[in-house]
Amino acid sequence: MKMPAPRTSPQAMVEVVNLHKTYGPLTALDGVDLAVEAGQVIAIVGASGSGKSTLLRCINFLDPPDSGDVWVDGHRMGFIEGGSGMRRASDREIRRHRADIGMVFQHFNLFPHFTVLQNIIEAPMAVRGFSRADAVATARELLASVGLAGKEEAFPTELSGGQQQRVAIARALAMKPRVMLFDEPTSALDPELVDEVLRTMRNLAEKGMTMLVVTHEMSFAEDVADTLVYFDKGKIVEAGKPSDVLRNPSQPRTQAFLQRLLRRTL
Amino acid sequence: MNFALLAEYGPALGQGLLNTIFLSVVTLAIATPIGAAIALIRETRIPWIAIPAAIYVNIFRLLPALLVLFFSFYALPQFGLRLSPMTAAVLGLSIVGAAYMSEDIRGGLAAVDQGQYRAAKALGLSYPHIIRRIIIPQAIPLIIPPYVTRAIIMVKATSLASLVAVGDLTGEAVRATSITYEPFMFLIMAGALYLLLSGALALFQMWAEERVARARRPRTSLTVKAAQV
Ligand SMILES: Nc1ncnc2c1ncn2[C@@H]1O[C@H](COP(=O)(O)OP(=O)(O)OP(=O)(O)O)[C@@H](O)[C@H]1O
Ligand SMILES: [Mg+2]
Repeated sequence: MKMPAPRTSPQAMVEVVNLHKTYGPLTALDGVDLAVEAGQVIAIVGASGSGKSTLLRCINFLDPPDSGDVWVDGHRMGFIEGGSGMRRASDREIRRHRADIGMVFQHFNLFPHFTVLQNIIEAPMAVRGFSRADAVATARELLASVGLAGKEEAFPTELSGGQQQRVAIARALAMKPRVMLFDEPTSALDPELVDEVLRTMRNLAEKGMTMLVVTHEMSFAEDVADTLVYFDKGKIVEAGKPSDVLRNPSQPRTQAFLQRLLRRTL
Repeated sequence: MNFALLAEYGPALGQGLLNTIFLSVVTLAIATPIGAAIALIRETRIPWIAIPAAIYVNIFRLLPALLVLFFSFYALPQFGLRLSPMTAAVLGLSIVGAAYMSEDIRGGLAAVDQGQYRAAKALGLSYPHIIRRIIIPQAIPLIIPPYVTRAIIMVKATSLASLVAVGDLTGEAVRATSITYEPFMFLIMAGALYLLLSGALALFQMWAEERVARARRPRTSLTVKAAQV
């Protein structure tokens, strides 16, 4: 069993160490290092195909990385610490750790045959073993917190895109995750629905949730994120305070890309 | 119409109809769960079970069904397995039917948005749970039309059993014809009875699709409008 690479930020909530992922001949992640402190919000930007989604999928092992390590809340994803060192985690163990990481997708991916309530309580009951009563109580609180109290019995198709995405956020939060991953959560929304989702995410950040957000919403990145990370060809080529990266990127490529984004949003 | 002849051969035709119904029901009852199991096995994409399943499907999908029936009736006895005509027919038709059905079912499973798997997996749900609670309920409306079409094709294909000495509807109609030289009457009779059988399936399809459509329709158009505002 390969020993984990040394960590530089052992106290971080999420630490990614030298992560590599290829799809056949294609290199999607080419040595990514990233540390996210508890309560921090990281905004991830980069051109299409640069590996942003792949990074998120590797963090929760939806797509296990080829090499490198992912640490979440002190635990090495995909491995179990036994008496005699590390061993590879079973499928069940991976699922248990994955459940600690919430994920929100561009296209919401609500379960269309379930009501809003059932969407939210399905996994807490099946994976966490919550009683129905507990799961429902949590779901109602979460729905209220994302501004959708009273929508319990609606079906996803009866909701607007912005409402669906807020249900998806509530569904992820119902698992009581340590970290939330957002993959372009507002990219599929009509412009007038973007703000309600961003507001929900901002509330979540203010409550201290650790978040990794792939987004092209530069105002959100600047106002809410602690760090902005710029991705290119499977590598992080720029990272820093959002205002610094946005105003004075060190790489000309980053500059050109961000200029285009900023012009689009302003 | 020669009613005397009809009265004489009516009981034989009735028996043939019963045999055809029996063949159809038993074949569908065997082929459906096997076809569904094969489809689910192939969807796992676990090579050591998915590849044999794919080989099975493609062998029997691509062979003439009649050849498979002849094989189970004439060739299996060479290996010491002597089957009654009915058993041989059920075996052959089920094997071929399951292969076809698995393709129809797999098509429905594969048509469910991949994002559903990803979202369910991200929540920590297990693969069997995802299949049972998330994928199958969404696949069923997609599966019903091709499934019933396949079932109708399989009911009609039971007429092949007449060629391995089963006295099914086709077999009895052909026998009566060859004795009486009255092809028109007996073949029309058989045709009408097949129409009743497959027609019942077609009606079932309409009923099932209607039911599924109703279950998926939002209950009140009011909420939809409210959501769009
Ligand atoms: N499952 C997969 N199979 C094969 N190739 C893949 C797969 N997932 C991603 N890739 C490839 O890996 C590279 C990185 O993809 P990824 O989806 O991570 O990019 P991205 O930065 O999220 O892009 P976008 O902004 O378009 O969402 C791309 O070239 C993509 O085609
Ligand atoms: Mg992406």
